[in-house]
Amino acid sequence: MRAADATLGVVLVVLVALLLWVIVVYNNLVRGRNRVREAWSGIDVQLRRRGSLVPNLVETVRGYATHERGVFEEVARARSALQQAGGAAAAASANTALSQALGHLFAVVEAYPQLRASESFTSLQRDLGDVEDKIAFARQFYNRNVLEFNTRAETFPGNLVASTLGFSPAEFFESTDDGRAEVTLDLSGPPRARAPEAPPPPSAS
Amino acid sequence: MPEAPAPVLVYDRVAANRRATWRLLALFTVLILPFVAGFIPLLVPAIQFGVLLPALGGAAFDRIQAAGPGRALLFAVTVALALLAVLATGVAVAWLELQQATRLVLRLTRSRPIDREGEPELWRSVENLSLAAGLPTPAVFVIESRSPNAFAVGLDPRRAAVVVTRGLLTLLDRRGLHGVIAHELSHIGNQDTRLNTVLAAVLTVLRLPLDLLSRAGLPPLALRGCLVLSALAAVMAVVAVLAIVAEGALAFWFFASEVRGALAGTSRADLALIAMMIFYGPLIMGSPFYVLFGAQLCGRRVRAAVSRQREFLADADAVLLTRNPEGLALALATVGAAGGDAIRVPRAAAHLFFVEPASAEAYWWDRAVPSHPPIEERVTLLGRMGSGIPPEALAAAVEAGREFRAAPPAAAPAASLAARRRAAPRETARSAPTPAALPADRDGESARDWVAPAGVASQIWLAHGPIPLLERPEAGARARERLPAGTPLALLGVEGAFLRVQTGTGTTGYIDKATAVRWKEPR
Repeated sequence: MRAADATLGVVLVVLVALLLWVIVVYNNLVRGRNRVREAWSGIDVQLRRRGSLVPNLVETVRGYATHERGVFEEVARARSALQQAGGAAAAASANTALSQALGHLFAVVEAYPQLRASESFTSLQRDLGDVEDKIAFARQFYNRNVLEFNTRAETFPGNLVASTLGFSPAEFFESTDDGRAEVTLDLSGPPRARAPEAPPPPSAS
Repeated sequence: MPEAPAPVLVYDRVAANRRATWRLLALFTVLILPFVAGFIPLLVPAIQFGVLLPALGGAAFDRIQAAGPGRALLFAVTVALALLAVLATGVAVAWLELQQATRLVLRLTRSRPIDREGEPELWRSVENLSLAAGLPTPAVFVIESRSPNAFAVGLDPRRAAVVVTRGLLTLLDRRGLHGVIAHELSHIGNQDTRLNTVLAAVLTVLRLPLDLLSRAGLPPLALRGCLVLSALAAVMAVVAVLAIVAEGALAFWFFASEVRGALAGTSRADLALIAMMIFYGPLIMGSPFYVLFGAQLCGRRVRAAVSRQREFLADADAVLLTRNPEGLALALATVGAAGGDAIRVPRAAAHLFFVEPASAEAYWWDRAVPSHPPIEERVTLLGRMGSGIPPEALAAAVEAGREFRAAPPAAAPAASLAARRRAAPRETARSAPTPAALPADRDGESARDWVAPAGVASQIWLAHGPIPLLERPEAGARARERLPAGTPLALLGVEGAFLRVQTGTGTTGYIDKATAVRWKEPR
């Protein structure tokens, strides 16, 4: 009888300790997930800002280069893809696609010196560059938080709690800078040679 | 203090810092208790005759004092009141200090707020690195001083500020600037700024008596005399206590029965008086030393131990943000060689800065306890984080810093002003209170504070107003705006008979060289 009591006591203590441990691990996981979400909003704001700059840019370029419909459509497609992208990985690849499309747009612009020198275009270009910098910096913070959260959720024994309670690892925001590399190539490439003699004046907008 | 292994995650560091803050406050209480005791000899008569006597009425006071236990009671009440008074003052000063800390430090260092248009590059760096650190963008300030340095203040990240000097902006390239800003942002993120502000507040309280003494206009020799005399008194007090204890022990050992007899013959009240004198005498003798020097030296030791570790940690975090240990290491080497320490700041705020500020006028006890680890040590540690720093790059950085210190670049306002003063002495003599003509230290301490190495301060205030801020350095040029009297202006350079200046809102323009200006902020 005594021995049974003692055993019962030990089992109870172990159970309570286990429960406490699960609570602590769970709370840590929730905290980590919230931090990841907060960090994501930092990127999201900049992605939205980038998305909202694109139409203005397209309008400005369209005023000079009316015939480049293909490029405009590509940019518009990439932009709406970015706006509809759900999840960090999808947003990252959509963002890269937009970078590539913008690269093509800037390659077209190279052919119109008057456009390149125009106030509105240069200021838009500057803003876009600024946003891209900010995305890169915000990405750093986001990925650090994802790394922290994933490590917590995937290492033993935390992973037991994480998988049971439905915590899935967060996605990294990985940017492949291929798009940018292409831009630089295009800028130094042939478009300079085919500068039209009389670019159409900008529309009255 | 052994260097504890640093927690890896920013959040853990914040928690560790919060614990350190509480420990610090506890330590402060311990430090301040003897400090309070030091004030008691002054306060006891004041409270007894100034507070208790009028409160109780003369007759009652005399009656209580006539009885033996009554006197002891009176004394206990007095001491309690004195303790309360001093503690309340200390807490009030510390609290005020904490509330005002950010604004106070910014004001004392003459920091000028800037916006995106005023310094786009600096602003963007701060904004971007804050994103990477996951912090709200802090306010950005610039100090118009040629000494390259930087610091961060603020009780919490939402109300924090990053301050850099003009010298830092001119001296460092983008990578270096990024390194320095990342270091400062790490201080904010780790909430070192809060810890530092608490430290500064504590130190200000502990330094109060000495500061009051040196503000009273005593020459350094007299201060040193105070130190020596109070130290002598303290030593004598210790010796006296030891002697009394030894004498008592010896007397009991050899003449036990005689001593007992003598004690039995003495009244209880007299015994209490003797005991009080034995306890009270050394306290009176020793307290001046502790109040003036001892307490703050202890406080400084604590600060050195705390902030040393914080600096290493902020360096490491800065590397995490910029992924570029070399940029920060070279910036450190350059700034160290360029005399980032030439800036004058309140000593209690010294530990806030990127590199330890020091001044020629600092008392030796200020120089004895540095608040920062040596720059070489920080550079070495940074070198270990990346792929190592090429020695030639380091040498070049140090060389650049030395050049900056020795001969300011021609474009710098100080240099061009100094050159102009030599070239056209008559012209400057005529236009009396222009910066170049004014002896740098004429306006007392504050002017000396902001003297650049070339001997010219770079911040001025308009003596009269309104003064037109011209678009071009020509007599008939259009005015950008009209500046009222007392407007603070940053001096950017001289062009002909005009000074190129920038206002606090970032507008640049020209004012006539003959305009009357002040060195000191008009009150």
